[in-house]
Amino acid sequence: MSRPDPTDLLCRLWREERGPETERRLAELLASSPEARLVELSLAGFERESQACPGDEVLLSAISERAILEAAGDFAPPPRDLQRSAPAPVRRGVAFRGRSRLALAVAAAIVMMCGLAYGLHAAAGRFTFVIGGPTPRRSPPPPEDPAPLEPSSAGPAISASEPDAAPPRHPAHPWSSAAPAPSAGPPRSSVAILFSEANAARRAGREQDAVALYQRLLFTDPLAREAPPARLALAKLLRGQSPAAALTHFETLARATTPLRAEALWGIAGCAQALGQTSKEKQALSDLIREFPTSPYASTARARLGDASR
Amino acid sequence: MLRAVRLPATAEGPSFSKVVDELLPLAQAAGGGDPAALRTLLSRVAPTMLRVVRRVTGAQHPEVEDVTQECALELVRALRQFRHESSVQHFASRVALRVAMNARRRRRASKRTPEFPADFVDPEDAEGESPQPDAHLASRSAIAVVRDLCDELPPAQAEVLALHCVLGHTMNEVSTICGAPLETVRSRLRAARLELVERAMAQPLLREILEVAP
Repeated sequence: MSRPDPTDLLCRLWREERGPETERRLAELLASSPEARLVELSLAGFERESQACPGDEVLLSAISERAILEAAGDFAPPPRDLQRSAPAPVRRGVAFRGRSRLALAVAAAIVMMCGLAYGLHAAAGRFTFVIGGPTPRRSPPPPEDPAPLEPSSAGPAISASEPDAAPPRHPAHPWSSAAPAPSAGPPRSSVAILFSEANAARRAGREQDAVALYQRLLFTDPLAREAPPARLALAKLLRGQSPAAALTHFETLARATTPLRAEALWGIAGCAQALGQTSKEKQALSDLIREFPTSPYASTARARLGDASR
Repeated sequence: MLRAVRLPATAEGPSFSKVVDELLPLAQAAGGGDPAALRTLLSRVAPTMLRVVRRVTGAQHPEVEDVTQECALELVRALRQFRHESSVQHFASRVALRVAMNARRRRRASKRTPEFPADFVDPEDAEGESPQPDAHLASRSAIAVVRDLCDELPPAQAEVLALHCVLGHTMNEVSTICGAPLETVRSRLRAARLELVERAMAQPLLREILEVAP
């Protein structure tokens, strides 16, 4: 009988209930196979990464609603004469493109009608000026031939009700619709570049440069997506030379509901210890144990909390 | 109600059995355009898809929500081509896996967006000066190596590696999910794992773990 593949066996054992027998077999497997040890490490890491977070239900509900809404457009049957010639599966945003074309045609028709009315009172030459004027940048489709617009107007059900509503190119998530538009902040790329440069400086050992770059990033856009990891990196860099400054950053990070809260609490405990603030250290360690009992920090935190209590 | 159906014994023994999929009628109705069925189906599979996306991209990845949304849309489109060769949950996982891996590859190609914070390993921690537990660090290094390798391998091989090492599926399951023969899966995985170990050996923290038996 052939020996079972070590990582395959690991995947089987990984999902079993952890009784003594499973633990024994797992220990034997890990002792005998470096590959299994590596895969076990990664599976443990991936499992931590995929833990549910507060607010997941809201997020998933919004995602489902959006998908259902898009599906409503996708599933609307196309006109019979187009069913044979439909070339490709309907892609995301096709409803919006259809609406844009319809809106363009309506606008063109309105311009034509206005121009026609104006032309009755004015010279014929000015009529052409109105049509070819600066209003439409691209020449609209000729209104005499509305046939190309038929499919889109007959396709998605939502297009007929609000034909002139220009859809966003990248529509915001439904769950963030109440939030201000992200375009109010600085250009996305500048923050991204700063983050990348700061990381490179940190890795190269240029700590002062990295600190300056992280600080500049936080000053430029404190609400950027890169801000929480940048603040964490900055706090870690400052921990040795200025625990008080690092503590401020860790506390800011801990207040925000980011996935980095566990690291922030751990940082608070370390800085508070360095500053001799025992009560703050205990509080941070207690919060860490209570909120993240399965975190890798938790066991060390328990031991430290015991030391701090003595 | 679930009903177990035994499949013919495979080379590894008859342990692999297929359970009749309780989500299949929902998937069929949703694929036919029933919005209520689609809503129910998404409520069952969306958490799985989110977990897959978090595993592939990293939980702190700024685009987790966008990618999960993309997964849901892709699943809706793909339902019409679903041939019931795997369970609906596995099908949804595979869709999510592919979308998330493509998102990573796109991001890697563009290099315009920030690095993955999930792979963020502080050099101080890596040197062991921090009180952060070593196992946690090694684990983070390992997942970074797996993710990098998945980005660089040919898509078919990367998919097999991800199904096995990221989602924890056995080879039999990978074979069913991918619709590929077991030997093909085994061969792809063997090559991918060799590369994985080689890359892990280049990381000091992982090399120590691989060389020294616990």
